[in-house]
Formats: sequence, C-alpha cells, structure tokens
Amino acid sequence: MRYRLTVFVCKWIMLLIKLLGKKATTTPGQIALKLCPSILTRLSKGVKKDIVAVFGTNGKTTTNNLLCDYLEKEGFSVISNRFGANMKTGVVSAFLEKAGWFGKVNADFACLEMDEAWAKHIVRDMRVNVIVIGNLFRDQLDRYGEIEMTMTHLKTAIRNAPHATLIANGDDPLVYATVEEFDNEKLFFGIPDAFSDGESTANEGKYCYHCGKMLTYDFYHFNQLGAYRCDCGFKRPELTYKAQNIRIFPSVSFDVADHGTIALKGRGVYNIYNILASMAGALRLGASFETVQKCAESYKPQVGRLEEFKIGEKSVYLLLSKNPVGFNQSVNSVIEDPRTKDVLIAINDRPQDGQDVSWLWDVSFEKLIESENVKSFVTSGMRYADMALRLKYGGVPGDTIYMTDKIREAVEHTLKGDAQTAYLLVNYTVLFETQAVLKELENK
Amino acid sequence: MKTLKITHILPDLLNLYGDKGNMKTLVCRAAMRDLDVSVAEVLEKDPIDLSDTDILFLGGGTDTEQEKALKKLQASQNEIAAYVKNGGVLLATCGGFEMLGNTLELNGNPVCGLKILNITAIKQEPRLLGDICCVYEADGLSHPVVGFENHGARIDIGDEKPLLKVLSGKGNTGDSGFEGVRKQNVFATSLHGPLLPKNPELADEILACAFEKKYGEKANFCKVDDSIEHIARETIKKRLLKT
Repeated sequence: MRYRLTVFVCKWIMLLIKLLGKKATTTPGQIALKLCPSILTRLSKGVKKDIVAVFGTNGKTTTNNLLCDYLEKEGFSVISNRFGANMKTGVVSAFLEKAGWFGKVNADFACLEMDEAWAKHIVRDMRVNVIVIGNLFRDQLDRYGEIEMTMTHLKTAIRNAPHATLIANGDDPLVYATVEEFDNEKLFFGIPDAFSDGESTANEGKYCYHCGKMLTYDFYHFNQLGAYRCDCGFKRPELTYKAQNIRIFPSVSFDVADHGTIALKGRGVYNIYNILASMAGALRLGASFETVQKCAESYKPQVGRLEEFKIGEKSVYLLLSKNPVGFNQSVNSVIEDPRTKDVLIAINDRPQDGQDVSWLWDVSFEKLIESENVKSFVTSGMRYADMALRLKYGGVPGDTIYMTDKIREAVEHTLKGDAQTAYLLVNYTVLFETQAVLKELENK
Repeated sequence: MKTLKITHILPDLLNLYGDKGNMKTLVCRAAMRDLDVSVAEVLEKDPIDLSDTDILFLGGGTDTEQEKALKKLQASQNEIAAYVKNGGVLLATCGGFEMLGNTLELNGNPVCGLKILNITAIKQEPRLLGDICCVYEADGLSHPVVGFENHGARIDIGDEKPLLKVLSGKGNTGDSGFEGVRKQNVFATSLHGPLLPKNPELADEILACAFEKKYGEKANFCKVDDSIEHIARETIKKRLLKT
C-alpha cells in the first residue's frame, strides 16, 4: 500500500518538475526513498529479464546509452538512467519514470549506470545479473578520496551479486585486480596490440596489487591501460572481446575479432572501450553483433563528447572532461587533428566538478602547448586564472593568454581566432552553458 | 651561471595532488632570474643521496603508497636529519608533512614518522577539507597564501613554529589558527593547490633560502610579473574572506 502510494505521489512530482521545464532525474527518487526506503527492491522486481549495472570512472553514460540502444533496437523495453543520474536517487527515478501510476513495472531489462561510491547501496536492493566495469581512473580527489576506496566499494557490490556475470576491461590492471578474486563468470574486453605511441601519464595502477612491485608494460594504450605483467604472476587476462586494426582519425573504426568491423561517425580512442564494454554486455544479453554495428554507426555522442558544431566556416569541437585522464584524452583528441586550432579551456570548481583544482597540474597540457598547430589559448570558467597559471608555467607567455570568467565572451573570442578550427575543453558544470552559447551561434 | 638542484623524493609513490606544479613553479621562477634549477627524481628503486641537493621535496600519497615510502625513507633517516640540521631546504606538502613527524596513522595503524619535526598526526572525523586562506609572515614581510586542505589528521605541532597563520579555513588542528610548520629551512604544510603556483612569494622565499645557503649571499631576486598569480589568489581570497 505504502509502495503504491509512494509511486503515485512521486510520479505526480515527476510530472510537475517536467512541466516546469526541468529534468526529473533525481528529486522523484529522493522523495520516494524517504517515503518508502525499500522501494528499489519492489520496483526492480518488475524487470523480466536482466538487470545490468555499469561502472567506470569515465564513459559510464556512453557505455550504458549504447547498451540501451542495442537492446531497444532488438525490440526490448529497457529501464535506464540515460541522462547520467547515477546515485541511488537517480536509479530509483529511472524506475519511477517507466512504472505505472500505481507501481506496476513491466520491462525486459534495466540498464543502469551507477556511481561507484553508491554501488553497494544499490546492488544490495536488487538482483543484478550483469556488472560492467569500464575503467578506474582518479576522478575527484576531494569527493571520492582514493582509487583503493573505489575498488573496495565495487568489491562489496560484487559480493552482493554472486551470480552476476562480470564484464571487465582487461587492459586496466585496477579493474582486473577488482574482479580477479571472484568466482563469477568473467568476460574481459580490450585492445590486444599496440596501435599508438601511448605515453603513460599514469599516477595510479602502476603497482601490482598483489605483491606491490612495479608492473612491467609491453606497451601502454593510455594512462594505466595496456599490456601489463608482474613477476609474481599477475598479468593481463585472456581477452574475450578484442579490438584490432584500429583507425582513429578522421573517425574511429576497428575490427572485433571473430565478429566484424565497427565504424563510428565520431572520434575519441576511449570510444573503442565504450563500444567493447557495451557490446560485450549486449551480446551476453542476447543482442546480435549486427545490431551493435548499426547502432554504433549511427551513434551521436552525448553533449560535450567531441561534439561538433559548424559556426560560419569553422568546425568547432566541444569536449567535456571531468578528471585528469579525461583531459589527457581531450588533449590527444586535439593533437590528432592535423588542422590548426584556437583552444579554449574552461574550468569550474563547483561540488560536482571537484573543488580542489590541483589536478590541473597532472594533465599533460604541455602536449597542447608544444604543438605547432595550436595558435592561441583562452581560459574561462570560475577558475580561469588557475588555468591561465597552469598554461603560463607550461610555457605559454602570460600576456598571450586571454582570460575571462564570462563563457560567452570566451567562446566568441576563441572563434574570432585565425585558426582553421576551435577546440573547447570544459569541465562538468561549464558544459551546458558553453553548449547553449555554441548552439545559439550555430543557428545565427 | 648559478644553479640549484632540487631532489624530488619518490614521485612514483607520492604524487597525489598535482605536486608537479610545485616543481614547475620553482624551476620556471628560477629561470626568470637566470638561475638554472634542475630536478632529480629519486624513484623507489633508486638510492637516496642528498650530498649536492639544495631543495628536497616530499609530497603526499595514498596511505598504502605512504607506507611504502616511509619504509624507504626510514633507511635514510640519518641523512635527511643531517641535511635539515645543516640548514638544507626541505619542502613537504600533504602526507609529506605528516611523515616528517614522530607518529602518524596509515590504513588505521599508528606508524613511526621520520622524527624530523616534533609533531604528531592523529586521524579524527570529520575530514578537514576545503579552500583555505592564510598569511605568511617573515622578515617583516607579509603575504597571503591560499590553497586547498584535505587531511583526516589533526596535526599537533607542540612547540614547533607554524608556517602560516590561518585567516579562513581549518589548519593543523581545525581550530588552532595555524597551518604547517617552519623549522630552520623546513617548509611543511598540508596545503595543495598545488601550494606554490598561486603563492609566488613563498616560492621565491624557498628559492632564496636555498640560494643563500649555497652561495652565502642574499638572492635579491628581481621582480617578475605575477599578475596572473594574484588574480588566481584573489579569486579564492575573495570567496573566503568575502572582501
């Protein structure tokens, strides 16, 4: 009775929030949990087939959205938190969205991205059949603390799902160390061969979690991902899903061994892993490789994931990065484009961004600074001066950096530059404002 | 050309909070004054030799990494203590600060520190976390210092002198009104940011102390353009002091 009433009330709240023009991705869940703390257990019982939990420091939203695309294309109904609200409130809201007014849930699958720190609280309340772990990178230091804690959270969640299939990134020694000890069915994905001169800027995961010695790498892909091994016997596991014959510019394409070729419209090496992770999940759940191919080909990246705008004659790219690894990836995306570019870097330090911006000094901006094709720098966001300082100590003459905390002014100034393209690197809470300005300019 | 050598101890273990920024700042600011500063990294597998070191830098890491680091550093405790006693410049930030003390806590266990400073670090809830604004006062000069603090320990500095006075933030114990320790040429603090880029006067002070120790004369560094540094610092200062 309480359950049905709670769902009824929260669905009304959801409707009201939407009528106000806002996204109702967490508040309904928040209220539901207060009114009926065990609501997730009831809601999740309505999933007929499998419940999938998607984890990973970077790429959760893309991986989960792709997985949902594949399953929906196969004709299944899927409950999901596509906009990325991944704490318990977001997961509950995702169920409420698809639930009937009095709590009836009837879906084939639930595919949910989850915040690692919330993992155990969510997995404990429902039967999770598949757990996908994409990668483990240092995210926000002042919110999560350290990677070891994240691994502990994930291990606790896995312990609460002893029958779940674990789909894990074999190229990441931290992910492998997280899942290794469990008897669950394990499927690993990765890139077996070297394809670039991946320079390691890793600050974590270089040490073997068994014996503490430094890991040996035959090659790196990026950060701590690559072909690792240790004298004690810990080494990269057999990969079930392998990406080979990789091309990255002007767009990403690769072969999946024993299956076929995947060609994306967009760019970004990290998307190879997002595709592999989501594909592994989809195949495990009964989708076909052909469906994966079709969806991947037409996949339009989420806002800020190398999102392209055409403003006048210029191609302008918006890149969201939430942490050092994401930023290093963005830097690589800028460099792999042979055209000249003006670069804007905008950094906020709201709670969702992480208030400690020390991490800026762990990003290899020098690669951008030393590139001949980067013609000018603009910094913006609340911490525009910290970013300018980072560039100054990276070798950019201070008086050549255009600094402003006003996003519109920063974007307009960047676009006035002489280069062939413009790249806008932003962190989380700057994203939507920057995108809004770009959309407006594109439509002019 | 005059030179200084920085020895960056265990950057493979202790590099949690953008510490590279401190090294970059020192090297660049020295270069602006025609002073050639080199950075030698001592990794976990390398021997520690401080014989020609002018600035020693010790950063912070995860508890597990700090446990490993301490094992290695303890073996060189005498050399580090002698270096400090002789007036050698030592910059220690975050976990590095706590490791210089008598005892600290790692992974829930009390552990012996390097006993270079007469301080103890004991973990207590809640974590001391957030932007912090302090002031550095020495030789009649006074400079603001801003940073970000993030430590679970309450650091009791006993009779040691603090490095900074807290204007807004938690500091060593949460309520002592002071942050860090300054002892001879040891500059130790929990601040990240990293510490030096937004606080150019402190960076110059560290360079000047090392210069004076090596060459026996005052550094008399020329003024350089720190306008970006000041804007970055003011952003934080304004938020905290609401001025």
